[in-house]
Amino acid sequence: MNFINEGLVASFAMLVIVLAEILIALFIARGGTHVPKIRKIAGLEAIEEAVGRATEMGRPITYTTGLGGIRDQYYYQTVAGLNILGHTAELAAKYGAKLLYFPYDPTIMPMAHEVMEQGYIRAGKQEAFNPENIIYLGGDQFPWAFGVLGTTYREQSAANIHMGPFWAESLILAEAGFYTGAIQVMGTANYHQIHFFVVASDYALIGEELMAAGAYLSKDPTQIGSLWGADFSKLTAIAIMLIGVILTAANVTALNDFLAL
Amino acid sequence: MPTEEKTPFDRRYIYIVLFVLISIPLLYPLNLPIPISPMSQDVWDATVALSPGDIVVHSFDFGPSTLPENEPQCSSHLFHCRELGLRVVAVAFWAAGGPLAHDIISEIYGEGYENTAAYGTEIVYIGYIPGAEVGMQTFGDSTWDAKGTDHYGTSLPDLALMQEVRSVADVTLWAEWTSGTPGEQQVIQFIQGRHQGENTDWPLVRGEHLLPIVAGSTAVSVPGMMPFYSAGQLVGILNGLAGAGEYEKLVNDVYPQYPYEQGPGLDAQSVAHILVILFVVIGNITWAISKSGGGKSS
Amino acid sequence: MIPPNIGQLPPELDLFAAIFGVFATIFIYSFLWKENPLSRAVEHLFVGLAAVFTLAFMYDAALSQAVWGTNRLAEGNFIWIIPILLSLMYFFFFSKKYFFLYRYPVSIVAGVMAGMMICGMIQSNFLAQIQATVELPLVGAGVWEGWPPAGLNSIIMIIGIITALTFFFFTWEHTGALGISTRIGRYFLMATFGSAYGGTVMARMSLFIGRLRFLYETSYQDWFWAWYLVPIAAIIVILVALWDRSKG
Repeated sequence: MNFINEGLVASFAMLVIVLAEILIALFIARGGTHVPKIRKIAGLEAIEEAVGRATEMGRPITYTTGLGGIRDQYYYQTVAGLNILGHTAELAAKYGAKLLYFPYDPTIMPMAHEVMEQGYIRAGKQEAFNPENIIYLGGDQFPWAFGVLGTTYREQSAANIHMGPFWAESLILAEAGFYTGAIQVMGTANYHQIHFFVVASDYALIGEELMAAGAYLSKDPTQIGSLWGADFSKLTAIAIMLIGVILTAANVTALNDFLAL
Repeated sequence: MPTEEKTPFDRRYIYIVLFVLISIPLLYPLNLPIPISPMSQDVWDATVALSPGDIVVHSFDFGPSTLPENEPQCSSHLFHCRELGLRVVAVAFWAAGGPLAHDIISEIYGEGYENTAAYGTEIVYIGYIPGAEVGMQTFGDSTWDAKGTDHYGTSLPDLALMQEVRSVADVTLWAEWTSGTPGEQQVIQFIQGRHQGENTDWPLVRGEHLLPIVAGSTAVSVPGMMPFYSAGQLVGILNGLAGAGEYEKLVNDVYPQYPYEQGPGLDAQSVAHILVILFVVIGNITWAISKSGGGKSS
Repeated sequence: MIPPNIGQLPPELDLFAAIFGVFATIFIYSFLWKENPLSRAVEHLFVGLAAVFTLAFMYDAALSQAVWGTNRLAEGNFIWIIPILLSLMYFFFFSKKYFFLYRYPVSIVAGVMAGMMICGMIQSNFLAQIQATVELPLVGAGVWEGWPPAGLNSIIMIIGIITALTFFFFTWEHTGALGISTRIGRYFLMATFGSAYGGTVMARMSLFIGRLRFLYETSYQDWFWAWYLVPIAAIIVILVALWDRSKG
């Protein structure tokens, strides 16, 4: 049996390098030898402001995690969105604001239920958690977006938080917040939608900032360590590109040949 | 309503202006010239480079909401494939794409095509394959395993064409019509990357034979596709309604019987774009004036 | 089993579909003017239909994969029992006592997706993109000829890729050389967002144009009904909005 899949050798080597970098950084941070600081992410700081404002105005907070579920390729963004949902739920419970969550994919409903409830428990207000504030609006893009738009408008939400993978519905959601004059905090790693969030929201999380949220909010050394490792893998990519560009210009093809293995 | 507080004039006037100005070219077409973009030309070139009998997969991965953009793209390309004598295996990785694909194929191959002799030899419609990325990967590895039967309930091994298409290595071109996920990125990741070098007839990209993929997408997703286009992972792209109109024009120039339909739509789009540019300019000027005014008063 | 031609209406319902299409379009667009009972009604209808559609298709797809479409179980392919049982475990979410069991299918699905995604991404989005960058033409015949020269494009792309990547360094302070790089990267990101915005405007306009063409061009037995139905729908919207306002 042939264990080597030609054409994918370099990919495997790269996978090993990236994994090694992340694991080493993770263990160093977890061991406490060095726990790096995470740079400021304004969008995440803004969530408390948004929740506070909704509380002052006595109006609810709208929260979605985009069109992601756990059974698609974008689940990592959904999980990041759920992470922030837990944080938002904790803040909402602490301040006594109403938090409305609109899942898109039915498979994340139980997880969202648990995450929100945990947030309320952390704030010491489990009894304030109402599962009916998780509102399922069907698993089809535009009906869902239109449902969120309508509900946000009728409930007159004062804060509009959207964190996860978004597609063409992103501007409809931003429009909903604009109609009600809500403070908008949005983040996605779908680069073809970030521009809407940058333009239409008060604070935007761009790309990987969304995934850094878990580490940023929890201050958990393990999560910070993996983020640190990911930084090293980006540095590796930059190094390979720079060396490769110079070698190719000098007509040395060794690196190109390796990458094509 | 806060709308009035944030904009100098009621946004609803913009809607009315847009509605009226877009309606004019739709009712009285301007017949503006349509230049063919390199991305659309690449789709055409990749298709005409094939030989009669070659196998093309058409993947219908969109829903009704983007039909105005995706339908003219895939219809014109499907028509082109039929005229070139290419054999087509159609699939859908979106549940909503399942019934839509049946309608679109029926338009090109004729109503009730599934009961004709051509079905099973020149065209097969497998239907919706569930599982998104997982379904896609399985289809690439082994077509029969992804779904036992076609859209009409016939077992795949009973279809002559499917006897020849056992995995993606038997496919000559992949045409991906998409408006989201799973879409072109998933085909690149779970089919193209996984099966590189398996068919030496595929074009060489950086020393590897890669399954050629042409994609047609809503214009929203096209900027996200560009890195894959410039890296050679996508051979050509039809960019939204404009790309569809361009391909229809290319097809119509060679096959005058194909109805070329996007002319008025593209006219309307040009008008809309000019209008949007004007709005952006006016918006920025108003913003700059209000900002400088605010600076003085404080 | 869902019939294969589910998307097609019988011809005798064409007129009904046409009238319904026009009214729904106008009622939904009326939201742009003001939220009103008609836009709300169509919104709820839209959400309900989508939920039913998703439910029916997922149910049909899941069972036809495993049971009736291919007879996999009847053929003795009992390995399919495992995914069926796993998916049924989702329902333990509704049990207070065995609540935790629903986490197993969730973990398995998330794990499978993570594995698949890493494999796919490392090749197509990571390595292939690095390779394409490394091979950007900088020297050689014709690279610096014409305008804009290919070499200049290459340099812009290399700077853009590297500086935009540095913007996403989270654990190092963005000061000094790194600060300059991240600032340049930020401009590249903003330029990308601008071009994406242009593309999206184009897409949105296409959808709107598609709807308008539906209204202007679709006919029923040579009768361009939309011309008559649109004003009627608009009048209904205005009347209902006035009625809604008088209610307070």
